Parts: sequence; C-alpha cells; structure tokens
Amino acid sequence: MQNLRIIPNLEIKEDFVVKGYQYEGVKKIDYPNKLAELFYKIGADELIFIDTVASLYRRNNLLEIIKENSKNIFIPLTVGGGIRSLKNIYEILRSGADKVAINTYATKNKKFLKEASKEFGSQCIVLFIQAKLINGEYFCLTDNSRENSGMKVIDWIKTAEDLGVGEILLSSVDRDGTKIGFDIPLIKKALEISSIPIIPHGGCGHINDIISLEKQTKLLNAVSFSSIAYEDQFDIKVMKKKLKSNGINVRI
Amino acid sequence: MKKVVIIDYDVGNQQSLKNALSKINVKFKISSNKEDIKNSDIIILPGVGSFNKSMLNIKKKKLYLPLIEAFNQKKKIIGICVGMQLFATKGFENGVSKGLNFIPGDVKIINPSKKYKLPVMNWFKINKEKKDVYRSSLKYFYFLHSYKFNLQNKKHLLYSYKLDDNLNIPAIIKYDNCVGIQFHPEKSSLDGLNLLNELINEK
Repeated sequence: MQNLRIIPNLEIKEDFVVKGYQYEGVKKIDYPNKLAELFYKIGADELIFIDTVASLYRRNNLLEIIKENSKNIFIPLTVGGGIRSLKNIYEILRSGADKVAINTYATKNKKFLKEASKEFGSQCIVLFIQAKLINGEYFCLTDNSRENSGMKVIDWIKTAEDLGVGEILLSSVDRDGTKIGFDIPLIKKALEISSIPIIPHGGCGHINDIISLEKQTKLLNAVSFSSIAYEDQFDIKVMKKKLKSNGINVRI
Repeated sequence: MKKVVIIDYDVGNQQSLKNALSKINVKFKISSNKEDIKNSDIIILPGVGSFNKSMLNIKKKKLYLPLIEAFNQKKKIIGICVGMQLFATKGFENGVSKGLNFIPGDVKIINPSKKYKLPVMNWFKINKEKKDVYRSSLKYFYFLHSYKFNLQNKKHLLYSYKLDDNLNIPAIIKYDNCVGIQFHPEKSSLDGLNLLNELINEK
C-alpha cells in the first residue's frame, strides 16, 4: 500500500538553512548538516536541499554539504538550485545525492530535461515548480521566485512529463512560509493531470494541514515542508503516529 | 575478510552504495576487470538506468562471460534494482533484450493504473514469501522502479511487496547464491544497512 512520504525541505543560503516568507526576507535557522542528521534520525523518508541563491550566482554550492551528509544519511537525497548542465548533475550525484531538482534553466531550455532524463534516468530528475496565482491562473516562477517564466503550471507539468522527468516538486510561492495550509486547489489539479508523483510544498503549518490535504486529494504519496520542521517541539515520529491514527499510511 | 567487488559498468550513481558499504565497514573494490571478478567472493551488480543499456554495457565491458562463470561457480552475486532485473531471461525495456538468465523470468513494465503513479518512488513494507530467510528485521524499504520482475517459478521468491491490493511485486528473489533486490538497501535507512550487512557477512 502507498505510504505518504514525509520530506523536510532545507532551503540553504551560503552555509545556513534559512527560511523566508513567500520566498523573501530570509532568516537564518541552523547548520544544514545538523538539521539533516536530526531529521534522518527522527524518521524523515527523504530530504530535499535547495540552494536558494544558486540560480543568481549560477552555481550550486551544496556539494560539500551533500558529501558530508551522504556518509551518514541513508535515505534519498534531492538537491536543487542553479543546475544548468549535465556536468552539474553528474557532480551533484557523485557527491552522494540521488535526485536533482531543476527549475530555472529548464524553463528556458526544455530540451535539457529530456537530455538529463535520458542520461541519468527519469527517476533522478525532479522538476521544481514555484507556482504563483496571478489573475486566477497558476504561473511558474523562476530564479527563486524573482521572475515569472510566463508558463502556466498545468502546461509545464504535462510538457515536463513528456520530456521524461520522474517527479515534480510543486511549491506554492503564495503559501511559502505562511503556515496557513497547503494550496489545495493547485495540488489537486496537479495530481489529477500528472501520472508521475507530485511532492507538494508550501504553507504547511500544522499536522492537520497534511491530514486535510490527504483527505481532499487522490494519489498523494508525498508532502514536503520547511517552517514547521524548525519549531522546537517538531518530531516526525509524533507526526507519523498522528497521521497513522487518521488512517494515513506512513513508514513507522 | 571477504573480497567484495562492485561491478562498474557505467550505469547510474554508485556513490550511495559506496557510502552504505563504508558505513558498515565493508571493504570493496569497484571494478570492471575480469580478474577482480574471478578473485572476488561476493559480486555486487548495482544498477540505475534501463535494462537494455545495462546489458549493452555489460557486453561492451566484456563482463558477460566472467559473470556467467561466477554464477556457474555458485559465487554470491547480489543484484540491486536494475542489477537484479538483469538476472532475468529477457527484458522488455526499450525493445526486447536478453538478460543474464540467472533466474528464469522476464522484466516488464508495471501496468499503469488509476490507483498509483509511476515510477514507483516510495517506501513499502515487504512481506515474507518463505519462512525466516534473513535474521535482520526487514520492514520498510525504498523502491524506485517502473519495471517488475515476473518470476517463472514462485520458489525463487523470498519477499514481495504490495503496490496495490491485487498487485504483488517481487522485492527479494534468490536462486542458488544469486540474490536479487528490487529496492535500494543503500537508501533504506537502518533496515537497508542491516540487510546489506547480513547478505555480505552470512556464511
């Protein structure tokens, strides 16, 4: 039976995990290695690391962090931010990551997703979407949500699936850091039209937000969050117990 | 100390496997040299990528005969994910290609359904098909695949998992000393490390 994967999402700026509000005004949280190891120990099913300034500087700065983490953390690791060549992907995988998440560069070079999926396998290529509602339609933002690509989320999901990506990290810019709950209409739509797994992110402020998302959607098999993971009383074990008692399958 | 060799045939990403083996203090060599295969006690065939490309690479690197020879000598061979699928007689990924034929069966795409998304990318609880095969507690493992191994003979099935009510998929299969693992033990937390440890160190 399908389990719901619980996936903390670590946004990293230089050497720190940071958290912003709608991807702006970030504040420092803690060291990435410390948090990653903690989340692994308390039962995270996967981890995502996003270099939030990589697109700006055109390089991903996480290789050393991943190299260290992958020696002690034995769950799937996804790395995103600033990826713009097969060589970038190769280096990230060689540092110990299992998947890469690609946003900005793919919106400008669609062929890149096809080349990357062919070279490394679909299972390894995650499309990262930063979705924002503009005049009643969801658009894909790039460059850590500073630019609008002009592409509609639904169109991009379909295209990317045809190009061979294996999974989609779907982050709501409007909800990011707000802790007011997931953008359910967005996620619902994405789950309906895609045949590959979707990892929703953005807005989770409470376990109940995950439960209500799961109850209102079909085929949800992953959720991701950042803000709540940094609260003092946060514990994935407790979270999973509560999910289980609400009839949601999780790995315990 | 057992000599462990990870077969290097240019498919996918082996860093996680290397990290996992180092964590459980297993010394290993990564090689595509037939002498290393000959001198090894345990062969690990990793794999990420497609069936046909993997078989082509095995042949290109002249690993086909050394692997057959190792199998005939009943050497322990551990196949992971696509590495396991290559044990089949035939594979149907990107056309039909012959496999290593260590365990009779074929490898076909999982039927699409409205009840699950593909590729399978999730943790699943595995279920025993035989009595007490391994001592390690085997619970949840991380699966990542779109193709499944259809065994010709159920007696080669040790563990399976349920993708759906009506769909059992082989998780661990075995023939002589040849063990195929569909999931990624190197990505399956402590259960995965314990299984690798047992597989490598069992008598």
